[in-house]
Formats: sequence, structure tokens, C-alpha cells
Amino acid sequence: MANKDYRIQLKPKNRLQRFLRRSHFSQLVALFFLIIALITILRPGYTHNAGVNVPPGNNLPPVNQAAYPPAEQTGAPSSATDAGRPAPPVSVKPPPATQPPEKGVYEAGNPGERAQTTTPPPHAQPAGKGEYNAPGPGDQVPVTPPRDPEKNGYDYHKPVPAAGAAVPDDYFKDAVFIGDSRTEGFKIFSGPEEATYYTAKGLKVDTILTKEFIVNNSGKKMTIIEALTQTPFRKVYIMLGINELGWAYSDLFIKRYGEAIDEIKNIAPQAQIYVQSLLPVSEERSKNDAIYNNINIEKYNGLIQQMAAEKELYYLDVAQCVADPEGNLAGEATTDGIHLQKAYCDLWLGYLRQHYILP
Amino acid sequence: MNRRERSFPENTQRLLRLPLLMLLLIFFTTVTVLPGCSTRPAGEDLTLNVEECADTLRETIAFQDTLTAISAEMIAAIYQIPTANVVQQQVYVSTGATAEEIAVFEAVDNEAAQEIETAARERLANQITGFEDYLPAELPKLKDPFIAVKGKYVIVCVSNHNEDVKKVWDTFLK
Repeated sequence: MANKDYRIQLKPKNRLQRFLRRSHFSQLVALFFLIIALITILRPGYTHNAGVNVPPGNNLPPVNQAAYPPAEQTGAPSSATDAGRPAPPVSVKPPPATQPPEKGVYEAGNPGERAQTTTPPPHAQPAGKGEYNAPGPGDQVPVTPPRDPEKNGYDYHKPVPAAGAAVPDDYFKDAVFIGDSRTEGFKIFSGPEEATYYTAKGLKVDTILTKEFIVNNSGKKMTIIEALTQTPFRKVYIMLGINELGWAYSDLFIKRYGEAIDEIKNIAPQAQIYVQSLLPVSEERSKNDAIYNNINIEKYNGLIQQMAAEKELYYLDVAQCVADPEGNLAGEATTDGIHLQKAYCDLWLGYLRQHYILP
Repeated sequence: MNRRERSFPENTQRLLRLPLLMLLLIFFTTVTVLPGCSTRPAGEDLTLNVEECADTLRETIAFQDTLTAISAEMIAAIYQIPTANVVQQQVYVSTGATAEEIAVFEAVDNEAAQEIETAARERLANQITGFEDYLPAELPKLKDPFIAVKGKYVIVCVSNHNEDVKKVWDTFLK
């Protein structure tokens, strides 16, 4: 009789209710959804929100230099101790953003993979060709670079002349590039991948002997000199001096530079050592900076060239490949007047490819 | 027979038969399950165009320096990320005048994304070491970068505009 009362009280009003009641369907459906809900809630990781920003860099791990070679340390004009307090950065309108490099043929007379990314300066060949103002027909340029300086009477007082053909990137596989932040920029943007780079921000002619930042395979930090003893390089490209422009005594700079070169020659007596001239700064930077200006750079370049002659080193006048007719770094080449954009690093590479001494 | 006289199962059965209750259960389940899908931690359903994200950041964020894309080989060199961990990537670096940088990665899986994040933090730590004597003005950017991991996607952005970067990042996560 209870069942009858139940039926009277819950008499279905429509077909749907009759259907749901008859077959226990509603019970099963409700139970199913309940199980789904429970599984979703209780599933591992349901409460983890992976989209939240990681806390700011206060929690950066300790530096683990052993994990990788700290090759990305670059040097730019250090505002630091030697130069005293630098002039404020020159406000330079940033040049147009560069396009991402495309893999393609690097038209430097040899196949390569870096493509031109910005409009080259009007006075220079297109950056993608890896050329600069190549000597004209009236210039006396040897078709073949000097092979044996002693036999050919190589004049160390003069910059390495342009060769008739550019070398490919694998020419640099036994080369090491030593320098500051500008050389690091060259490495990142344009440097031959086959080469080795020992670069550090703020590197100077004295810290080249003392700064331990190169990590070997066993995780030990070394100075550049120590690293050079472990790898037999046949070519050494070095550019230092921009961070020392503020030194009170320029002769101290060249003295220390010479000492560092002597160390390198002792380690690798058979290596070709290319000493590169300092690249200029922009006109605006030069006019507004008491230290980082082209007058000081020209002075230092004179000292470097003289040192190269005295020590019989190959002097590469790379400055001419990025300088405008007035001797300044083009405004479009840089945002701070000092560091080069990729297109001008390409010009730098192009210069190196065309100025070499055959062993 | 009233409710107390009926057995418990009978009462329960009566309740479950009620369409209204059933509908409530379905609604509850739906409300529970669907939001759970959107916050699923694996990011399995998220698809993000890495290059487009990096390009948008470069174009919309007011960087002080001009950022230039670098090759895959150079990315591997400076970030020390095994190429096997990466599906696609786009990294823009500065000329050296600043520490500004954009890096967006798509890892092969969530675990690889965590490894990329670790490598990126080591990269930033190394940059701090390099800049602290060379250009101390850049340290605030390096000490407070924008780093985020969403599933297999990792973003690293060094700038003075973390909030703007987050807005762009959130846009791409939708």
C-alpha cells in the first residue's frame, strides 16, 4: 500500500517523467556525472596553475659556470673604474628594427648562411656580400696575399692588404677571437661558427691575463692565457682598447697590450696574430663623450699599429669597413654609438674574409 | 506510509528520481569539469606561435636597444639548451648596449620546458655577472625578468616593461 501512496504523490505529469521513473535512467545519469566530477577534481595536478609567472629573479639559481662556457660575456666600453664616471649615454634614435636573418647564401664570394638584415651604408657594398669599400682598379692590391712574410718582405707597418678572394667560414676553424663586448656582438651576430671566441664584457689589456671566465670541460674556470695553452690555435684575432680609452696614460695601455701579446706569442709561437684596430664610435657619441670619442680612438689605433710593427704582428684596419667618410661609425649602425648592429658586424666579417695572410 | 516509515534506500530512490535533482547534479558536474579543463596544467591543448609571439613582443614593447634575431646555433650556444628539447624557438638579443632580450621556446614536452626554464635562468645569472661591473644600470632588468612557463612553452623577456610583456603573453595564451 505504501507503494500505491508513493505513486499517487509522485504521479508523473508528462512522458519525460514517466520515462525517467520507469527505467532508473535518471539515477544512472546522475551517478555518471557525479563520478566524472569527482575524477576531475581529484585528478593529480588539477590545482596546479602552470600559467602563473615564476617569481621574479630574486630566486635565480647561483651561477653555475661549469654548466657551460661563459662565452656570452661581452665587453663594451666599461663605465667602470679606469675611465671614471662616464658621460651619460647619448640619446640616439634607434635605427629601424632588423629583420630576422634568413638562412641563405651569404654573398661574400663564398657560400655562407648569414643574410643581410638592414640597409647597408651607402658608401659600402651590401653587407650580405661581406664586402666593404673594396680597393678600386687604381689601387695596388696583390692578387694573392703574401704567403711568406720573410721572403716577400712583408711590411708590418702597413695594414694587411685586401686579398683577391674572400675565404670561407671554415678558414676560421683554427682561429680564436679575443675581445670585449664588441667582439661578443660580432660573435653572436656574424662570427664564423667554426671559430672560438674568448670574449668578456669590459675585457681589458690587463684583465686578459687575470680574468677567469672561460670554463673548460672539467668545469674549471681559466684565464684566456690558460685557455690558449690548451687549444692550439693557428690564428689569433684580438681587439682591445675601447674600455681603456679613459686610462690616464695611453703608454701604459700599449705596454700592457704588448705584454699580453708576448704571452700569446710564447704560448703559440707559430700562430698568426692579427691585431685589429678599434672600431670608431658614432659622430654623436664622439661629440658628446669626453672619453669614447674618435679622437682618442684614432690615437689608440696609432699606438696599436706601431706596436704591431714593432712586434711583427699583422695589423687589421677593420675600422675602415664600418667608418663613414668622416671616420665616424654610421648612426644607423648602432643604438648607443658604440655597439654594432648585425649588418655592420657582417661588414666586419667581410673585411676579415678579405684580409688575411696565407700560412 | 510516511518518510520515516520507508526504508533509506526507498527514500534515496525517490530523491534520485526527481528530475530537478538530476538536473542539478548535471549542472554541478558541468561547472566542475569544464573549468578544470581550462586550467589543466599540461597545456596540452594550447597552441602558440612562437615566432609570432616573439615578433609581437619586439614590435610592441618599448625596448631601448634594437633587438636582432640570432641563429639556432647561437641560441644553443648562449642558452646551452639541447636542440633535441626544442620544437621551435625565437630569440632576439641586443647589440650589447643593453641586456634586453626576448626568448620564446616551444619544448618537446613539459619536462623539457622546465629544463629550458632552468637554462634560461642560468643564462640570466651569467648576464648579471657580466653586466654588474660593465653596465650596472642593466641589473634591475636582469634581476626582474619576465619568465613564464605554460605547458611546453617558455618565455623569457628582459626589459623594463614586464607588465606589457605579460599582457602580450596572456594574449597568446588565450
